[in-house]
Amino acid sequence: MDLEKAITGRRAIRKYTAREVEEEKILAILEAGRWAPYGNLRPWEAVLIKDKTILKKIWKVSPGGFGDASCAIVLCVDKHKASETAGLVGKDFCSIADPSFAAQNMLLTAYSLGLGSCPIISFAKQALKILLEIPDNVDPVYIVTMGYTDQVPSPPPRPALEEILFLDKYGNRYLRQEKT
Amino acid sequence: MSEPGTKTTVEDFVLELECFIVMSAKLCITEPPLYGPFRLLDTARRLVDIAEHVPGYKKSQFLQEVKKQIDEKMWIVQWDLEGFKKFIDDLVLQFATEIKRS
Repeated sequence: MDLEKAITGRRAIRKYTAREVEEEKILAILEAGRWAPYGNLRPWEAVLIKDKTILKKIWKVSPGGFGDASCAIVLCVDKHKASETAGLVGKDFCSIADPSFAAQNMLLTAYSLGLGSCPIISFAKQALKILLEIPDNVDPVYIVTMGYTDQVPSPPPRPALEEILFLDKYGNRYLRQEKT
Repeated sequence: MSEPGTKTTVEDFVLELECFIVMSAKLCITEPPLYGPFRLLDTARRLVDIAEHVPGYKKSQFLQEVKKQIDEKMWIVQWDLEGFKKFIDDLVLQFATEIKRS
């Protein structure tokens, strides 16, 4: 699939069909995450959740989650390790940025494989750690749900490029050149 | 989350809803202020499903319609704060009318 099509076509999917996602697609999505840019020596780990009983329990502690995904990937970072390997930048920045880069690769790859997905951050971290037996020094950062799309939401509005882009210095609005 | 039509007991349903409310309370400490009303609307939406789990509880057409509206509009909190507030105002009017009528 064309990259631009994947970027503009992807939506946060919150309603899936009952069809299960094939293992090879899940692994391709995780592999895409593995190739994301990262800023410290050991960026992130993931827990793949396929067990429906566990998925249901996860949604119970995740107000931002919706319960009919085929599977979910819980992206985690070891903040202690991030701090050891990349100092404060590792602890405060890379521990968020690295799994975010990975999640974006995963979302786009899922879309390119004909799947829906949704990144979720509205979950009770402590409760999720208990459910998944995540150790103290590791924090779950994202839950990425996946499945076959049932309903596609409309894209939320985004600011025009001219509203968010400056040229050469902050405050100098970028203006598109008229094509002649 | 229990899905309508699945075998969920009243106790399961209540525990799930309580869990959602408590987890939401935790998240509301750090989430944007309007996520409080957003979570309350989500709670109202989920509570409509009680008819699926409590024997003898009659489905309310009014509440089903409310749930449908919340399903459709709750997410605008992410990009249209004024629209979200107006949606809540509209719901308040609908509830007031329904209470007056009942």
